Amino acid sequence: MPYAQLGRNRVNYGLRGEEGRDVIVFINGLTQTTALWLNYQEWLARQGYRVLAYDTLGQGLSTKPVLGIQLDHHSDVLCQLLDHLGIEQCYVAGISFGGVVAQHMAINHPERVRGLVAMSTFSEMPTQLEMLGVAMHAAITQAGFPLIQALLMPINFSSQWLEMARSTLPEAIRRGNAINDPYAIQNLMESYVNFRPLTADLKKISCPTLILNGEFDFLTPRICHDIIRLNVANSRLVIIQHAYHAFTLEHPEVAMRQIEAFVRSVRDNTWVGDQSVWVASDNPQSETLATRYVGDHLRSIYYPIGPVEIEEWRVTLPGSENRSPEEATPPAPTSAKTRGKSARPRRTPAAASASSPAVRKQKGE
Amino acid sequence: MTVKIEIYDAVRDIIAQRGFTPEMQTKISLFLTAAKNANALFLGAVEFRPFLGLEQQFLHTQYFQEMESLLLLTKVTRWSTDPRLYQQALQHTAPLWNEWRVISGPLGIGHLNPVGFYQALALGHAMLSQVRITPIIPVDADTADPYVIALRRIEQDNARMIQTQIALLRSSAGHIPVDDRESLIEQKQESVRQTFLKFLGWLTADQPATANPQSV
Repeated sequence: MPYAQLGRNRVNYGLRGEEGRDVIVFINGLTQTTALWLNYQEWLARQGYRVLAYDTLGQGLSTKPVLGIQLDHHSDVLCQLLDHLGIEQCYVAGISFGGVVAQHMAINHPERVRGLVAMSTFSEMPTQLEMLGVAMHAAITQAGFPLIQALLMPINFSSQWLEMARSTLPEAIRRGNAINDPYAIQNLMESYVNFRPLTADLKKISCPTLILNGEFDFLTPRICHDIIRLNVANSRLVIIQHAYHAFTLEHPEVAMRQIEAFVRSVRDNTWVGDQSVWVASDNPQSETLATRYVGDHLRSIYYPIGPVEIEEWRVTLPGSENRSPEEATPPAPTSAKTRGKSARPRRTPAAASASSPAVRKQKGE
Repeated sequence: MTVKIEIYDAVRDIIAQRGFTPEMQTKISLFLTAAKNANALFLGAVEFRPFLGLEQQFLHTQYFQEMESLLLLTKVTRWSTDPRLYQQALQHTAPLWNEWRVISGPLGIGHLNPVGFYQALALGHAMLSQVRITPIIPVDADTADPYVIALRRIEQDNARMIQTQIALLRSSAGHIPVDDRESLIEQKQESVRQTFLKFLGWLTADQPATANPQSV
């Protein structure tokens, strides 16, 4: 891997694909390195793109400042790297921590960004994420890096994937422990102490924006991505099925397909940024890229919009023993009822959206 | 910069093949104890520095934590009786001692001035962050092996101890520009890293294929 000497910092990067092509830049999550984008680089280069992956300061084989680094400085460093490589404009794709850097790029250096792919990320911290961050910081300072790894594995991946990888996980953890310097990861974590929410600045992003979110991601849950969707006019939100936080590693073919199709549509002027919500096809070979989301995408259960005929399971209320036998007889559990006529008050999708943090923020509450 | 994984892998492969022989344990323990002793020299000296306030509390605590790590390691190590190892070890540990000698100066009081104090903190940070042994432990190593337990425990303790250096390096010497402070810290990081790399090379150097029967 070559290095770029940028002032006092050395930045480790890998660049694939010929000059003159559209450039896609990948920005790592917290404990990732450029090596994890290798299959993306190879596949996208074969599709006719030039693909750059690099270690941000504090990661992998790049310089790791001991005194720390300001969070929004990472986008300045990326600009320096692009200058060094003679790249004027690019598509910026960042995951998790890298997704925040990617948003900074689109906000602070819009002239450099042709399109933005924000993956498993956030523009503000919901309380759950903030508290998980504090807990992980406590883990790295009190018990060291291995505990962070132990925590991140089940956060990032599904049980199926972990089971499949069980025999190779110890070695992957050993390598992760060797590659990452705990003090540098701690510094990256602590750069969030003064995190200023980006949500108010998201309206400045005018470039096409693809937002990707794992179906079951509970570290950066749906609401984080919905806030970005609602505040970036030229955006679409696509949900990656069956996926958790690190879907780029667990479902690489699906993620690559989405990113390639996005870049191609922007290049061909067929991109539609209408703030709509979609579900990615889990077959990367299918011509169907995604299907429009039906229902309330902020819920984990299917919640249809509008009255729909749905089977209901009904039981008598407790204390009904004193009623007449006829009254106490439970109704048949398979009777079809109209959902809209149910005695249980229903929280409509409109009401759900109105009470979401994103909408409250828009209203200035 | 980080030690490349291939370097750790080379050591790991030897240990996977031969185990933590007394020779291997002796080499590792001599280097780790030198790193901890060099840091402890500064920490011990701070005991006599007046008017240090809260910083003294942290450094005082670290001093005894380093002592605890040293004791743990030396108690579980199966020391080799091969005298050559101890001589060879001096070549690998001398740069660590020399780093401290440069800071303390000919009168041994260099750390009493603010820049020397800051350099000593930076050296402590480098010792605790660059000397990382656990990546050489094979994944199928016996988790109940006292030596493996000690190595893991020491690295875990390092993660806690280094918080003192991180906090003090950020908060001290505010009159020195950040870039200059970062350069000063980087020099210590690089020096310790180079020494550690040579030490890892020593671990992969030829050694007897079987454990030394004369080990104690």
